Amino acid sequence: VLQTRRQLIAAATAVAGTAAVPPAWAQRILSATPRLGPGTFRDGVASGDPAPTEVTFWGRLTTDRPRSGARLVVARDAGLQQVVAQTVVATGAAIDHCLKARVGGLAPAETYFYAWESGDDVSPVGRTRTANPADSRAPVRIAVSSCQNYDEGYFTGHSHAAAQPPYDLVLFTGDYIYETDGGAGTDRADPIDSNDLQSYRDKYRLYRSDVGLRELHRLHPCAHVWDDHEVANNYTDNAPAPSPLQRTMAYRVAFEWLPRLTFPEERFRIYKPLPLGRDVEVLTLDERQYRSGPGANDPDAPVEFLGRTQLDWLKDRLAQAQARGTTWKVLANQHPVFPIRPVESQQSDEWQGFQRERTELLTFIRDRGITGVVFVTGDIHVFIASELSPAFDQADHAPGPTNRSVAVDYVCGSITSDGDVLGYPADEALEPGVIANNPHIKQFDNTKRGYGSLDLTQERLVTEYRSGPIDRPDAQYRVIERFTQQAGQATFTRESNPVPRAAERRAAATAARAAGAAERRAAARSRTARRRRRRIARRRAATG
Amino acid sequence: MTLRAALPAAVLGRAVRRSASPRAARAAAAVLLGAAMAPAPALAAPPANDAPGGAAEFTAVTAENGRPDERQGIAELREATADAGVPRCLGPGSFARTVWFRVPAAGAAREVRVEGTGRTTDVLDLAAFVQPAGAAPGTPATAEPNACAGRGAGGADAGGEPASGVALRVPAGRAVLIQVGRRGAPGSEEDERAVLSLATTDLPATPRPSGDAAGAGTPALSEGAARTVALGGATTTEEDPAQPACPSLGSVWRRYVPSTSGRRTIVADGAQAATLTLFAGERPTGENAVACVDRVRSSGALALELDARAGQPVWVRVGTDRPPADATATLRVVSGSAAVTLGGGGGGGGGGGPPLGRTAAAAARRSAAPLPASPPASTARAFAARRPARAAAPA
Repeated sequence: VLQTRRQLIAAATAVAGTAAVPPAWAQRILSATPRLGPGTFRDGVASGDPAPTEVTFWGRLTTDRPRSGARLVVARDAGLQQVVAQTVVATGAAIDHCLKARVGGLAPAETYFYAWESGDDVSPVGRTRTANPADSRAPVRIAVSSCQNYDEGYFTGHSHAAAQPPYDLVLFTGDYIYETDGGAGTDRADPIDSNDLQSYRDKYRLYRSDVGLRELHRLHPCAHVWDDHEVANNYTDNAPAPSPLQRTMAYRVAFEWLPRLTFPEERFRIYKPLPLGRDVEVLTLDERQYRSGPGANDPDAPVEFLGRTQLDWLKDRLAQAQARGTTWKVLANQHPVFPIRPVESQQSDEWQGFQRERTELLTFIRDRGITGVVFVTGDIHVFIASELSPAFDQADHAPGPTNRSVAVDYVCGSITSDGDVLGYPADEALEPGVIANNPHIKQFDNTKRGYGSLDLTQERLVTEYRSGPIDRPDAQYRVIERFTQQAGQATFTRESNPVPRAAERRAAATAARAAGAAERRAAARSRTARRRRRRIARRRAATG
Repeated sequence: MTLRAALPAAVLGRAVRRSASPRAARAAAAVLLGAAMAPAPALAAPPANDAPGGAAEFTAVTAENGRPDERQGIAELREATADAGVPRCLGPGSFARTVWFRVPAAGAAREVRVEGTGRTTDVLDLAAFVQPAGAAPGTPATAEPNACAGRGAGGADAGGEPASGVALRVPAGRAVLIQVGRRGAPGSEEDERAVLSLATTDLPATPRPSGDAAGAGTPALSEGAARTVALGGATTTEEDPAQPACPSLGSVWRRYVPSTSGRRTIVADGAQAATLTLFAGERPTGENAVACVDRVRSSGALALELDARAGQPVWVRVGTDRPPADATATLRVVSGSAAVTLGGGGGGGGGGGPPLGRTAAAAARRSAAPLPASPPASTARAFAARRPARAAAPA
């Protein structure tokens, strides 16, 4: 029998020359070579963490096979004729069949198109953009969004942002998912309570079914930082503390489903630099993972917010950027940095609850003369623009000659989540009172949903807050606030309900056309899917 | 200075690994150390679930929004040791130190899935051992891993964000042992720790198909006409050898004994036939697999050629994942080479892949505005130019 085995081994091959043949007797069949496999692309495509010559690409296969794979093709043109890179990427059930590849060797400040191809299917064609080279003074455009609760409405802000000219980066500043179910009986029902590996995966799949979110990912490179709802509501208060299973699997799925870099020595690290040229460096922050305990205003409490390692890293990166002459240091930040009096006691989960680290950071920025520090923020579902002072933890903290602003915090609303937070009901009439109590706050609106858009140049930063309805998928958006901040200044001017700029008008028209086209394509895809299912059924019947 | 300080764990670990019998050496070292240092502080000991006989249970956890369906395991691998006599299904360097978990038997057939995550991207080695019917917990059966994942398997472990997980479908009444391992020198306690999730899903009450297990009752396969093979209800059992390159959740077996010598082609057809694996020997083992082919696309046949010798048995395994209750495949043995439409391949680079030009055009059509519409002809040419040459036909 043994002789026969050896002869068989020598002779056995696959018809197509593709069988995995054991490398030696008495070893199992291993295959480290990635290969195409079965599966269809139902969750869109994405790109992220752009660098001057590298981008991370994402896709996902739907298949029952424990392992599969797909080819990534990157080209200079939308027709994928001028191919610059291709690679076969392995995947499997253990990463929910997500596909991820960091492709290098690309040209800086270039637009690229890409698609994934499996054994069964080809993904939609995505578009992305590499970062400006280190010496480039080209303008940079960044979109900022947060807090997208599926059952509270359509992600129309994403649809609007997707239709804009290419962003250099789209930043999500937390609450990309909400772990609880909701919306029963509505057409945005979310039946999933997420608290383990599969339920988090199901949640991300549901959220990616939103047309606006899929389009945004397909057309713009992104970076994501998580807040609490990627795990559980305010979970770092440890009341109750999430299990290692819940916390680990929530982090894991947030990596599986987003096109981000992975640090081999620290799998779930999300704080990192993303330089976008001579004038802009984005620093993404993690204000959840390294907290050592619940928020508290007790200065003696041994609690951490960023944690010592991250805080030192942040200070170091800010100092380095200043030394290089980087005009803008944009901090992707989950939580408002400033207090909102008289409800600041309700801000214990934000920077306000961790005053030692806030004071240390803002004092460092002041004392080192670091300019152009801009926080872009999520969390509280409100559009706010605020100046920041190291004296926030003092009784008299109003910015002024002695407490001058050292940075600015643009809180960019929410995609859908309700603005009824911190005890304030949604009300446009609140703003005067909030500003009177908080001289550092220059604008406040908790009635609207939307996102922020930043145009950064060597000379100035123009931040727009854009808003529209979320009760239907084809909503129109408008600019509700525009702030202009000159380089070197930690203050800004405000223009409410500004006249749309020409580009804004063009984009609105494009978005309207795209919405109509998307509907037509969706109908066509549905017809194609039905035909495909019928073909498969016929084939099964024929082979069965 | 205590003896512990003089003999740090790393040094002790090296000495243990050099010995012919790691567990015996560890036990001897522990006795010596214990005698020398009692009642000094305890050495960092291997975890209680270091050996399969001490396998730990996965535990239920709670969450703010309800009880998770999955159960939790915490693997502490820094002080764990290797398992003598247990096959290392990912090669000799794999499973260098392991701990064990046990999934109790249930009254219904189940799909069992275990995935693990650590602090680093170092991929865990995972293996599953289905226990024989009626096996007592104190007598673990670990002769043949039935599912295996980790570096070298070519799936999630080789992806852009490496990970590993094992999944299999087991009959009612079968417990499953899960072996969790790491390779190389141990890292810090934190880096060695892994959090495991166990998900179990009861399966519909579908009878196990004929040939669900490999053994004396396995139906024979003969040359000639195609034979229908039922796949619905297929499971993985203790005699199913894990082959990481061609994994499946369940499998169905046939035994083929050639009546004459010569080239044969084994063809499995049917969308639910996910893998085809050939084993040579009196019984299939992890070490006598001849070749396997994994599905590349959802349609098309799986085929393997071999030069058969009269009277020498070949075990044919058709792997399947989540087949409907009435799912079937056809199996046939063809003399010489067969002309089939292929749906499988085990190598890289897209052999047996789809018609690329057509799918590229389809991709562009599926893309939404503002990308321009696809130029089908030119796109097809571009993709065709990239298409790799097929491997040469076998001699």
